[in-house]
Amino acid sequence: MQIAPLLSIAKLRIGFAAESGRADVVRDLDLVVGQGETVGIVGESGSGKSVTALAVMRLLPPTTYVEAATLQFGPHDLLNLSHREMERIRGKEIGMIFQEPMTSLNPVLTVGEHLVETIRRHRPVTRRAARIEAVELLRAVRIPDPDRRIDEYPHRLSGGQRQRVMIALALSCRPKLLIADEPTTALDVTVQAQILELLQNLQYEFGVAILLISHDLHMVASIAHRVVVMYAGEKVEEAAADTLFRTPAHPYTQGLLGATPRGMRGDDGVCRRLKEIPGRVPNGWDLPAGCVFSPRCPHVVERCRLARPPLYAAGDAAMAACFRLETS
Amino acid sequence: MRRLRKFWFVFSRRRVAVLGLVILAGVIFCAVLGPLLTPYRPWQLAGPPLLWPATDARFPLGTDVLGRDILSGLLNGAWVSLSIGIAATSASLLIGTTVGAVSGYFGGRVGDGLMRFTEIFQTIPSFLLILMIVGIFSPSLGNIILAIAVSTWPAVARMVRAEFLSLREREYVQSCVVLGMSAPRILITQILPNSLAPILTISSVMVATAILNEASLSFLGLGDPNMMSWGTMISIGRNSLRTAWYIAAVPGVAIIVTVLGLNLFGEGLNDALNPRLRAE
Amino acid sequence: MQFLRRFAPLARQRLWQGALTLAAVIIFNFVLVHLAPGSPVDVLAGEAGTSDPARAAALIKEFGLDKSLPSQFLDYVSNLGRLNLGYSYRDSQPVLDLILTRLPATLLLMTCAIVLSLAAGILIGVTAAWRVNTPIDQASSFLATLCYATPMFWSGLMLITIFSVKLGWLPSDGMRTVTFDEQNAFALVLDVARHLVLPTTSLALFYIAIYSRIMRASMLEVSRLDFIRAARARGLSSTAVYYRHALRNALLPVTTMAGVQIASMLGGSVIVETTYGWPGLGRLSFEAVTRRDYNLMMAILLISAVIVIVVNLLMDVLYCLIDPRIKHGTEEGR
Repeated sequence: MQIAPLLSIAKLRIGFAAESGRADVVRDLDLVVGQGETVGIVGESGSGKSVTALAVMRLLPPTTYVEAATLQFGPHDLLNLSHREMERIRGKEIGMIFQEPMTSLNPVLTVGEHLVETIRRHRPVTRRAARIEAVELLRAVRIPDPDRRIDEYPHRLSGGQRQRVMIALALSCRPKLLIADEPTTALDVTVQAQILELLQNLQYEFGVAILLISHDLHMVASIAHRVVVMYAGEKVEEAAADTLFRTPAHPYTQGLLGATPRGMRGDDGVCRRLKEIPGRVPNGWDLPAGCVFSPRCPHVVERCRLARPPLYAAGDAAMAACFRLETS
Repeated sequence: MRRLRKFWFVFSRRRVAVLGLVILAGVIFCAVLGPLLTPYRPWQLAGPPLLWPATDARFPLGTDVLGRDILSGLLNGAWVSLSIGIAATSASLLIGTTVGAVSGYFGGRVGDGLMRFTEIFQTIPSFLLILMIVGIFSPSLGNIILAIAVSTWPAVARMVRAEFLSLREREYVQSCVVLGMSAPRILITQILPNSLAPILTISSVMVATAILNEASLSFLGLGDPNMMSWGTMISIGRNSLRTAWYIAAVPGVAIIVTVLGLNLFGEGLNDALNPRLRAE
Repeated sequence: MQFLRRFAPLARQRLWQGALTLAAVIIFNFVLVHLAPGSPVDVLAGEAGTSDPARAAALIKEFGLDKSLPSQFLDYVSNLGRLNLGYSYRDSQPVLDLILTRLPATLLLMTCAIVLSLAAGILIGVTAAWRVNTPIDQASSFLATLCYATPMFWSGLMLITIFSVKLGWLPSDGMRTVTFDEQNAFALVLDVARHLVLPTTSLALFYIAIYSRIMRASMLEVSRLDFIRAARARGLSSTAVYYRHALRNALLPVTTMAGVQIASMLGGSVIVETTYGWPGLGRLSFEAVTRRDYNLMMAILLISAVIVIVVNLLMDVLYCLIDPRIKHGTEEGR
């Protein structure tokens, strides 16, 4: 099924310069998000997933450099937009929510002031009309009693409620893409499920595409259409969510699935020990030659240490960067 | 020795801190060697009055209303300022550390009471207090030092109390308590060495503030009448602003440079002492 | 309305603290005077003269110095309650009247200095943070360090030399021109304003240095916080993010510091008023010290403490207005 691409990224490279030289934290990343799709990026800390999101929004500090063959959002070439043009894209075309809802709202402004400000920034709307819209947005994100809550200050809201407000803010101008960077990591498990359900419902209501970033593979697989797995700045696997979950092709993904608590219970229903992936994620300066996962891979052979594996097809609309998939 | 080298490494990374150290060294040099550098004494009517600086080689900084050599006065003022500053700061640190340590370590009602007492000093303007003490007890060197010390020890006490309050919860202190070590011994051998860093850091700035206070007192005519301080020189120059403003200007520059040096040095100390010692 | 509800418990706490501190200051005053060398009669009568023994005896009786110390203290306190701060022999009027005559001048000077130092300090600090690590930032840092090290009386004299003596633009002495013909209110205000410029500048320079550095540090710190990035992610313009989001949060530490510095500013006003001949409380306290009028000194100390407590209360109100989290004097963050 062909979906019109909304966000196209090709050969993305992100790095920053330091005294000891240049370190690339993301290398050669290709990513496509279609309209109305939910794409998940999964990886542990240091994999470069959050940095990718910030690069799309051009929110990285000026000391970092971002290069790509393509960084296209609809008709906009994101790499070459001016500051002011980018400001018009942010919030209006692409919305973003972050990991820490407790500190993402300005403590001296009410919820309503946040919403009205954002709405009026991107559209010529009167204050009163914006306020009415704001109440409706709060209702859409399932905040109870929105007429009263709109005048509350952030410190009177719980973490889950603040994240709902962030979602309302991000969707206030009906963007085509919502980037969610670890939206549930800082929340309780029960609240996590509610927020995820909310995101799915909102996607259906607003028709927004979602780029969901997390370290939690199970969580991402539960609501994403497609999942990209990143390791140490590179894409190592990409597949439809249930394909990835059932038949992971890359050893790293297999390790991730085995290492999560839910992965303990095997198909035969017997609980097994948590399987740890030994070793640590390399940083931008200490990249191994060859396959970036080779130092920790249980199936490593000599070839892996010498050359970097390209992405091989791994079944239907799936790919993984592993020499084991090479068919001659 | 190794600690000293590590200290210098961090300290010297800030150029302004090194500048502060250089200035400080210069001021100490002038203070100590002052009498040897000029043939005149500060109160001596050495030459023709109202001589501008750089007009006569004998008086490089000129002379004042009565013909006193300004350079000699300046060097003597360095000695006065530094000695009063150091003495007052030492006294203040002694009182403040003792009160703060007792209050912080023993806590309880006594501790809180002592802190309430220090709050009085936060409400009364410190210079007003100094003025009153010197006014009531007459202006002499000892009284000036006492007055400045009395007005500044509460800030020290508050800081030391905070330090001791946190340090007494550390494990090495707790283990000494369990071992039955006496309280004074714990305070002096365990906690005090570890709280020296912030105390040392503020001492430089305290000397600077003491120098400013002493200069203000002398300017108002309430300094020790036997001492030629920078403030005294400025007040002498006050009546000659129209024709000989340098008499008031030059000692002021000396004050600024000295206080600046002490402040910069203090900033350097802050960087060098605090994170390092804590990391150890 | 919501603000009053939030502020009431804090106000109660502060007023109680203030009352306690005031009580402590009163005791302190009493003890200090009785520690003074010389007989208490000298102390209290100042220059009234005690050479005549009969006069001395009469004075002792009048001041109640023959009573025991505790009862003297009670007399002192009850006098205070009736707003009797003593009598100044030199000026032949009650101390309270003397203070009230001079108080407005000091309040005027201090208000102008606070406004100037906050406005300039915030402006410079915000600009320095906006242009961090550029020459503008470094220059303002350097100037701030200089102003912090400059004695107020010296900057006063130098300003007088430049603007009064050499350029003749501004007057250097007093609050009003002596030979003033009071024709209309506007000319009067202008005259006072002209006299106000130099003393206000002298007093404010030191605090401009402090506030500008705090503001700069505060802005830089706030700019790193999460909600700033979130605001940018919503496409808000850099100006909006800087002023509406960062600035309002960065003002909090400066407000706190301004309250702390009030006591210091009152002390500084002594120096500035004496340098400029400004007829306020500061100069009065200097006169009191030189004349050994201890009654007056004690009274000024008391009034200063009251001013500091009142201004701190006002600062708390301001703080509550700026930061909606403040309740009971502590931050409430969930």
